[in-house]
Amino acid sequence: LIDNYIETPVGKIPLVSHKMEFEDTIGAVKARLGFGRMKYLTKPGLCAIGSPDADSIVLVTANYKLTFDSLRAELENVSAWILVLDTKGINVWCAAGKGTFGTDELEKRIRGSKLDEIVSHRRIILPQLGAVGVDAGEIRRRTGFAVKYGPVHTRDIKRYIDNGFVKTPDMREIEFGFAERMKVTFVEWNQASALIFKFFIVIAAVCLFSSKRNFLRSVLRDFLPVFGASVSGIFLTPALLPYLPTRSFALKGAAAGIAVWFVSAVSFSFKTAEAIAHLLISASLSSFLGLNFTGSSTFTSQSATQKEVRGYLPAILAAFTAGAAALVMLRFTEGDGE
Amino acid sequence: MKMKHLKNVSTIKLDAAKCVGCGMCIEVCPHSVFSISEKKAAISDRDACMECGACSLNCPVRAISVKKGVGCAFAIINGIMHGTEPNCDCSGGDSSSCCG
Repeated sequence: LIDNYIETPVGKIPLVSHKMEFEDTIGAVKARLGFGRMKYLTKPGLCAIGSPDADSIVLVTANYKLTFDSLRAELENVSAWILVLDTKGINVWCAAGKGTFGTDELEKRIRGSKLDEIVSHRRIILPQLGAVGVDAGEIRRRTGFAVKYGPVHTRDIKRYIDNGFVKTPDMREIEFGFAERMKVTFVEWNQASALIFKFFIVIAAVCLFSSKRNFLRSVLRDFLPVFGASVSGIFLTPALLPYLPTRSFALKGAAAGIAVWFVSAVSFSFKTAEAIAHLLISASLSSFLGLNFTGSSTFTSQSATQKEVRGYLPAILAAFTAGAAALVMLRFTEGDGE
Repeated sequence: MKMKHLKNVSTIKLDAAKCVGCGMCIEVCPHSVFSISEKKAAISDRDACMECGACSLNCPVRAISVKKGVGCAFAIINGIMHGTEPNCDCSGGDSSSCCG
C-alpha cells in the first residue's frame, strides 16, 4: 500500500497511491462476504496522496480498510493529506455512532500528527456521516481547525472539490436503493443461517420420531416452507421493501412471508390444519427477519424501531410458538397415509 | 422512491427562537429533514428523521434536541433482554455486526 514517503517539516509522512492492488480487491471481496470482517483495518495517522504541500486539503477518514481504499481510489490526480482516525476497523457511520469516530479521537490525531505544522490553512474535510460523532464547534475551540462536512459518499469527493467545496443536495442524501439493500442482505444471511439449520434439525427429528414412512418427503414438506419464509424475510423483504404494504418492517416481512406461504401451500396441497400451522410459522418468521432488517437499513430511527419491537414482537413470538406447537402435534397424531 | 419509517415518532425538536440560521443542520442531515427560510431552520420532513443526532451535536447554539439512537431491532431486543439501553455491539469482540 505504501510505496514511498514524503518529506515535511515534521518528518517523513507515508505516501499512498490511488491504485488498487490485487490483494486490496481480494480483501474487499472477503470483507464484504463476512470473512474476518472485523480485522480489516489500516493504520491510523496522517498519510499523503499525490504531492501535497502546506496549502493542500486535508481529508479525514476511518481506518476500516474498505473505507480508506474507496477514498484513495477516488483521488487520482488529487494532492491531499489524509488523516486516518482509529475506529478499530469500523466504517465511519457505525464508528461515529459509537463515538470512536469522534471529537476526542479527531483532536488526538490532529495533535499527534502535528497537522498545524504541516499545513498553513486551518480547514479539514470530514465525511458527512462523521457528524454523528464529531462536534465541529468543539474541534474548532480545541484545535483551531474548522471542520467542513463533505459528501456522504467517497464517490462524490472529486465533484465536491471541483464544486469549490460546496455540496449539492444529492451529495448529502443516503439512498437505499436495490443494490445497496441486496449488498447488506448477506450479513443478515450469515446471522440467520445457524437458525435455519436448527429448524432443519428440529423438523428432521420430528419426522424421525413420528416415524413417517417417507422420511425425506416428510422433511421437505415442512422444511421447504420454513426455508421459503426465511428467504422471504432475509432476501425478498429487502428486495421489495419500497413496494410491500405499510411502513412497518414487521408487517412488510409478514406480507412477504404470507405470499411465500401461499406458494408452499399450493405446491404441497396443504390440508387445512397444516396450512394454518405453516401460515403462522411463515408469517411470524418472515416478519421477525424483516424486522431485523431495520438494523441494516439506513433510514430507520430508534423510536420507530422500538415501537415496532414493542408492538409486533409479542405477536410474532405468540404466532410462531402456536404454529410450531400445532405442527409438531399434528405430525405426531396424524396417520401416515398422506 | 424515498422510503420512510413509521410516522410521527421521531423525537427531534427544534427551538426556532435559538436558531441563528447557519445551515449546519442542513449540511449534516442525511435525510433532508430540515429546510431553511428567512434565516431560520425548520423541520420540514420529520418522518424522514432517523435520530442519528448529527444535527443536535453540531448545532452551534444547541437549538436542536433528539434522542439519539440506532434504528436496529436486534439492538433493541438485546437491550430488552439484558435490561440495558439498545446495544448493537458493532465493535465488540467476535460478535457479528448489525450495521453493514
